[in-house]
Amino acid sequence: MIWIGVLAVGLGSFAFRAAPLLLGAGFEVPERTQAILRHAGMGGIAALLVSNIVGIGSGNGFCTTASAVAAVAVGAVVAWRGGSMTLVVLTGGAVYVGLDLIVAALACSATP
Amino acid sequence: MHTPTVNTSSLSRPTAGTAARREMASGARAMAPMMVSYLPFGLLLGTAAARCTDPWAAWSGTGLIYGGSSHLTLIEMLRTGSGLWAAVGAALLINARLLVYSSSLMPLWRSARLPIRLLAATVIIDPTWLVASRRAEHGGPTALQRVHFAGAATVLTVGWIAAVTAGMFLRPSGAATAVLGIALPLCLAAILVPHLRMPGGIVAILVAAAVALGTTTMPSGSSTMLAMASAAICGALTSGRSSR
Repeated sequence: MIWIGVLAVGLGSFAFRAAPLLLGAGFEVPERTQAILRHAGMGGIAALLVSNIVGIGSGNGFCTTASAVAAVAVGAVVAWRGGSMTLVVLTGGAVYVGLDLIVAALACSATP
Repeated sequence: MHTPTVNTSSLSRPTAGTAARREMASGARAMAPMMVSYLPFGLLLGTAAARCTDPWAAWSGTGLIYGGSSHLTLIEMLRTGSGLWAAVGAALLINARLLVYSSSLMPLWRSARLPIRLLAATVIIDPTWLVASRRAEHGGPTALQRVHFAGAATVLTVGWIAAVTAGMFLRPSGAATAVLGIALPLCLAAILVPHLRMPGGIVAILVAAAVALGTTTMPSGSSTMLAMASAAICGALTSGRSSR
């Protein structure tokens, strides 16, 4: 099933890439269609992001979800300010691990 | 008196060769920092592919799909039990932006031979499009701009395949698993953020996130498709209103 999926997406993606170069000047994507395609694509990535955060939180409790949301928020700020993907991952990862350690320490001190 | 004669054709050939080599190296240098920033995403995609029931089939998308977000969407949706065609549709919609990139690169490849155009088409993606667009701003012969593109595409292709392949063999444990778990949403956030600057981008992403959050109990394929449709409609409506 994965092979079929990869081949179908690979062929479709190649068609998107090749069509304008093969059809030349006759090919034009209206601006409104360009915007709709971009919004739809980013909507898919946003959905994947949300389902990943929900996945991290499921079974790990509210604190883990909150740490993940905080890490992604910090990463988004870094990206907004022009930081590279590596910097986004490093900063967000540090926030996530730091918050996890704080929560673990608080949980230990609260245990009688 | 003997006047030395200069054979211009023998001089121009090495000069053209040197210029091409310089341009190739310049394209490679332009891509290198971008490739470094994509490394975590490549590694992560590799670890995601390794978790699939058929890891090498998932890995083959590295070259065949040649687009991290679309590739990751496909394998994550299939891994979490979405229908095949829902996953394919979502991944294709994410890659539909390539139509836009490819059309904007038409002036660069219009006059090239068919095999060259087809070869160039295989490596059109966000970073190569960006490098080609920046190079086009500086002008110069089309042939040299194409060589610049080739240098950039070579670095990206080699680096990307190496990163995904290395990710396939990563066996994270303990804290590394937690860090890798959060790396995926962070990579996705880094991809999403630039879209917030586009007219209607904020609304599109917020609506998609809300729809995805509200439909977590639905099969992941239908949830993603709903989120994409909502983002497209709301984003287009908002951008239409703001541009008036």
